[in-house]
Amino acid sequence: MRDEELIQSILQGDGEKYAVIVDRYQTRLYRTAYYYAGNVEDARDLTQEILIKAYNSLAKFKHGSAFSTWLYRIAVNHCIDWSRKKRPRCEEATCLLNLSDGEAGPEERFLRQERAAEVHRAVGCLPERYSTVLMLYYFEEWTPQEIAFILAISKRTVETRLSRGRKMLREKIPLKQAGGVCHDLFSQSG
Amino acid sequence: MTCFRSRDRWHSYVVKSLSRMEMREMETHLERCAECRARVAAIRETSGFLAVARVPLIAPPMIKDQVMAAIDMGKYRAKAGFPRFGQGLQHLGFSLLAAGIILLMVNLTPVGRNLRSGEVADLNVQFGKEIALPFTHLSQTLSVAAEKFGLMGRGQDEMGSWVPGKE
Ligand SMILES: [Zn+2]
Repeated sequence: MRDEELIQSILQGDGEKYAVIVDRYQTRLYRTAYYYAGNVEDARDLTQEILIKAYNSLAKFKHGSAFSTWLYRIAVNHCIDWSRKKRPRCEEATCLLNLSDGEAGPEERFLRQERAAEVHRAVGCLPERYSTVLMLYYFEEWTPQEIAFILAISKRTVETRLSRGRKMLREKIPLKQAGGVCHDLFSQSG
Repeated sequence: MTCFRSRDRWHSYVVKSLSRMEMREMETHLERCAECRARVAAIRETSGFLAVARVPLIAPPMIKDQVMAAIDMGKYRAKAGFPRFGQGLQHLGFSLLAAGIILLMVNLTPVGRNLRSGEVADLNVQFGKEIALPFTHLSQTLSVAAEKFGLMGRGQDEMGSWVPGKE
């Protein structure tokens, strides 16, 4: 059943169908909340709040638009509001959980985790307008068009912020270690 | 940076979220522009590099349990299955007003009981004036009430240009 059909059913009184929506989106929302919160407890609370808020606002969902981007608009706004109030600007190392994959040795796993934490921190320390588009595009794989809808800005602005954000990241993490050779990560045009 | 297209939709191009015509047009441009090729390569490289920072988290089951326990399952059921509160009030309002008018008429009838026939015509004119005022008020009240209840009914359906999360 498509999202929009589920929403229709819920609005017609079948509130239990919302469980399917929760199943479908909770992990993605949880991950996004984690990018803002930096810890699993707050990420969990944020995800719950977002899903409850979305349920209570379902009557305002406009049919014809995608439910996923509508939900994400609520999510991103909620997380941004939350981080403005709660989260100290640019936190020190966010602890990334279980980045391990079965085949990697402990040393490799540790290095990977370190690098991930560094990248994560670098993105999180950018001004919010840039970190949000970078997160949505590179981590959550939304298209610029979808990001434009989520953030209620133009597609052109999304492209500009992505370019500037990448340039700023290049200044923060200029090098990467790859196979023993150091080279410019964000090489060439910024 | 010299190419006028260097600030174009390259992030959209990389994830193929353009029309077929736009994609073809940009591909043609890429074939002869080293600067834009470098830009596309940089976006792809960044994508590969940032992939390490993706968080492989899975939502704990308690999220679903708590959300489903917190929401009001009957929230939309009430609206879909029964007459809306505003509509009910609207009917109640009209009924009360109609009852008021009838009561007013009944109260006015004894006034002329002891009058001689000649005085009745004069009084009718006088009452006509006095009665005209309350009726004007009544009709105003009626239209205000109708408007108010009418609006209540509409407001529930209206979606307007609401921005989620920014209430
Ligand atoms: Zn070019």
